[in-house]
Amino acid sequence: VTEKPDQPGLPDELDESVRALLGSARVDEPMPAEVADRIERALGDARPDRTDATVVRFRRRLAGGLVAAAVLVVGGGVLGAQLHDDTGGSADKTASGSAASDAQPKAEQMGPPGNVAPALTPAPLSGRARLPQLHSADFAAGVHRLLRSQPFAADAPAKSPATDSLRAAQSDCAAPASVPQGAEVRPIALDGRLATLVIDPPEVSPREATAYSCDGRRELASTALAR
Amino acid sequence: MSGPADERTDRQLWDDHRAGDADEFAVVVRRHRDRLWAVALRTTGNPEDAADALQDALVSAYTRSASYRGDAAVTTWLHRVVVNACLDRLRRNRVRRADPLPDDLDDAAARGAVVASAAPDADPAASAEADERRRVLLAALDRIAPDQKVALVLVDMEGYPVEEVARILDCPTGTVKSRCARGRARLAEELRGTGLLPEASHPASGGVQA
Repeated sequence: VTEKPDQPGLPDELDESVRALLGSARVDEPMPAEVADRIERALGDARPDRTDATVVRFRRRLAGGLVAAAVLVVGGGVLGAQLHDDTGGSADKTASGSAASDAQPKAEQMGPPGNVAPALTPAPLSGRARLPQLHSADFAAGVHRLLRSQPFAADAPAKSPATDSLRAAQSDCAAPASVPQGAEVRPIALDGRLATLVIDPPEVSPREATAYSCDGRRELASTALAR
Repeated sequence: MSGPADERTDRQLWDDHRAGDADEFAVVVRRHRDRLWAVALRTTGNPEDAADALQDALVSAYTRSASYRGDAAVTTWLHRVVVNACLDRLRRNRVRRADPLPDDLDDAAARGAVVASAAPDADPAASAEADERRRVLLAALDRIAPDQKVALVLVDMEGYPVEEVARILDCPTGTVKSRCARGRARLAEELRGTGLLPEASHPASGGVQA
């Protein structure tokens, strides 16, 4: 139904003046980078059946060159919250989507869950990053195997050959809100999704290893470690 | 690989997206995001609400892309989703406020209603004057009915053809024209005495209803 004006229109001169005034307030600036970044993150998170690897690829395509302000921190910060044993209760869903297959570098080349190698066997990545594969179903065992093969940094006798590629992958995830002083932060794949593993230093009690979602907001799994 | 030089149409990208390649949604959004941002910014009146509305709208469009029937251009449909999200937010904000209309210009400015667009190297005095005029205008625009406001934003401010706005708003073109006419009349009333419009040509009575 067409609405009918319930009063006479403005005189032509005034009508034109109003239109000109409105036209002068046109927005000519592009969407601010921080808004574009926020929206692409939200859209990436909205993908219900994609791995974080493909989310990263998606974000990059949307951002169109914007550099994601995601930095992982090794050490620093204060552990502000008691960590929980939450190996299976996360809202984070198991990934089932396809993997990135284009030429995007780093962790976004993580393979699909169906092709994931057994726990702690690096996924057959074609790029630089080779991430330890952990699973929430046996998170504790996976973490202990990981620490046997790749010891906590302070205890490691020498730099792991994989260190560089692991560090290179870190910029794809945001740092968790609280990281204990002296903790080590490592990128992992948990149930096929890019995640962040925070390993408490030996002096922390109770000492735990905790996996966080890639955005650093959700605790996905946690397990106690021997001091 | 899709990029700035991607020559596929929006419809082709959308079809690919619906066929399972979710990345193509990003390409479509990237193409139109600046115009969507402009509409959201001017409709909501401040950058915070604009960003919130745009995020809600695009996530909704992404998750409900199956509801796109293909009877309008993809960009029209995206604009419709964004405008609806902005109107929802606008109405919600007005209901929440005890005083539903931001009659305090400073308050509106403090919420970010004013976004300066003068060139950074422009004459400072001229820039300040232009910013002040824009501030007054946007505050007045914030006081008119939402359906009239969005019509003015789309037609007079952002320059969309009336026919396109009718498709975005899913209403007849006559309705768009009517809302614009009533909105301009109401805006002229709101701007009376501000010096932004020629006083001599104001209507004699102030009986315009929102």
